[in-house]
Amino acid sequence: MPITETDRQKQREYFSLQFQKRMKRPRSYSPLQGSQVRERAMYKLLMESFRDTSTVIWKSTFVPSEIIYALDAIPLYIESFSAMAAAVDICPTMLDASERHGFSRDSCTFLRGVMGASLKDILPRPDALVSTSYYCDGDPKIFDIFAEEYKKPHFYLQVPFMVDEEWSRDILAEQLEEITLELARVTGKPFDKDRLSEIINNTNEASRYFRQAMELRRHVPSPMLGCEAIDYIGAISQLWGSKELVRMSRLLCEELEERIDKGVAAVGDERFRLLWCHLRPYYNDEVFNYLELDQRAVVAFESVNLITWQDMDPQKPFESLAEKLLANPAIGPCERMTGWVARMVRDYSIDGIIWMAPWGCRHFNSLSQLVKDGLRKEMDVPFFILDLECIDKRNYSKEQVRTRLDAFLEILAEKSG
Amino acid sequence: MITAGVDIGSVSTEVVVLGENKDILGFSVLASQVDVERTAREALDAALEEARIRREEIDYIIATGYGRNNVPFADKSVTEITCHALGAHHFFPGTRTIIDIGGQDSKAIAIVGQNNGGVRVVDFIMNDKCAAGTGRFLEVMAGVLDVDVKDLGRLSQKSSREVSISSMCTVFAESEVISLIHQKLPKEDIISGLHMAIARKVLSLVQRIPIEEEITLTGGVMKNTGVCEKLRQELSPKRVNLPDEPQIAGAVGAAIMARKHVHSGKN
Repeated sequence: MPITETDRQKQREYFSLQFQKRMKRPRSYSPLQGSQVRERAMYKLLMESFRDTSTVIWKSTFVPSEIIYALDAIPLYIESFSAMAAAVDICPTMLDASERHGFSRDSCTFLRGVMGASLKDILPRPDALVSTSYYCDGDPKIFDIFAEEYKKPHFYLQVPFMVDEEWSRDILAEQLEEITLELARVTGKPFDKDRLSEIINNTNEASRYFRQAMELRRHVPSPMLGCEAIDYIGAISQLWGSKELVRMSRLLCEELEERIDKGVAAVGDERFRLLWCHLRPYYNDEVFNYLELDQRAVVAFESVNLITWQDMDPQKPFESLAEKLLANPAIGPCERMTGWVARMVRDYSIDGIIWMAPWGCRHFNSLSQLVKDGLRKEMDVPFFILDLECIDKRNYSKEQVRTRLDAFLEILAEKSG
Repeated sequence: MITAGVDIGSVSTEVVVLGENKDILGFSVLASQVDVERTAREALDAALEEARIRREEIDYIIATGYGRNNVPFADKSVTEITCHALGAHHFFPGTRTIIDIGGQDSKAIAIVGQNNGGVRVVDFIMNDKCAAGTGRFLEVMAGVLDVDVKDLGRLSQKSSREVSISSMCTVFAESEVISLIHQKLPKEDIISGLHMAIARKVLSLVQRIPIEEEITLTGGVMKNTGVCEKLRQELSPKRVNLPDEPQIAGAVGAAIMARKHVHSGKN
């Protein structure tokens, strides 16, 4: 039975209440102001995207939000909705809905969550959809289903594997321009190249702050908890090109500088410095709290927050965005990711790597052993592949995870003598 | 110095009391009960009785296993990964790879030697998502085959033809075994197939860490000679050690760890 507008309104109010409660939750650490600005910005964007007057473009991971902001539309990074829903415990019903519809529990929980929400018609409805071929091959397939369901056009960005070839950049730039013009046509939002250049400038400004934050986070002891830092990726993926991202990245730098100047450490008497690869469990903070607050093994940096590109040329927006896309360490040969991991280990004085392996994340998991073996040839740093779920709390077993973390910390303790 | 190690597993609880020269003064193996603390106390009492010493004579106790944080009389808890590694090294000092199959988990552990003659863990991998291929798995299969789990090893020696068991989910494997029974296949051949399925599943874990030349098998499942034989076959020509009491390796490792703590003065 189709859901009524009254039901949708009730759902929206329920979301709003849950997210607001989440933002006011008691925390086991003092959050940065920048982090609170980030949470509010994400919430505001979600609420705005529910408005009938908004033009909403669903995008998958790594679709550049800049082309959507350039049309004065809202980029809704749809996988992040699953993360937000998991954080406020709405996700289980979404996952149930997708499973009842035939989606395997072995598939990506981010996408399954969105599929369930879509089946329940509780998401902001899209005016158009854009997906990429990376990270996830599942994205374009599931976006096709959404497109059919909402009767809206779906544009697909094919990202070449040969990341270092000039033709890869050219192909990508051509596609980006074509998709932008098509989005403008189907949404009725005019495309203005100067506006895109302004948006690119915003991204450049935010990138500079984030690169500065990366430098600041090299500091020992760490000025920021990984638990808090890793949440920036949701905003980063969704808000590139926005003024909000410039504001929160500037605030992040200022606060990190202040903490370092005042000698404020994320945890007292830091025991170990960890590199965390992949995302995190969104349904609770237990793993990070245990590592960072109980065991003083601070997550000094996270692979997802790595900025790997230089400033973009606002006069060549599509070429620059293509270069930014291709700079992602996860695409191309696995040696690229291994190289970046090795660099992060050196830059952040890392004692051990936790490589999170979510059940359904086929693409990232295919890299796990290759990166581990590649790194072993280069450096002696303990590397643990931790099977852990991001969204579906039904797949989380506290004691099983705790035993693995304890064993890994014992390895680090023995190694450090 | 006298130390003790308490290994609270999902199926059994082991306690080892170690003497001055790292000699095993006494040990006990009891079935784990719901009341972890009570089981641990009973196992400790049994081991002390065998060792003919009093509780007060023990300098340090370390608990390990899934119930390690629920042993109030232990001075410290350490994971079973570290303890199995130390236990295996105690039995076979040349070992650098450990394969442990317990009641509900299986793991592979890589260790390296240290200048002081000891070892440390450098890598490990554990089964995830599913306990197929562990002690519980064999218990279920023994029930389906109507044989005592202790007889599985002996029976598999009589197999003339190994049956392929394709599924490694305990429930699915159970139905597969039932189907094989209905096909009138000899129990011995089915058991042999189950052992090979366990060995292959564990080896898929082991191959993800560096496998060295000397390997030691630990854990209760290694009491099953059939599983050990299959592992030896698959790991050939590497040297594969089997302690006389493979299920107490974790408790032995915990007792050795306790010695290290006493020596270092750590609490």
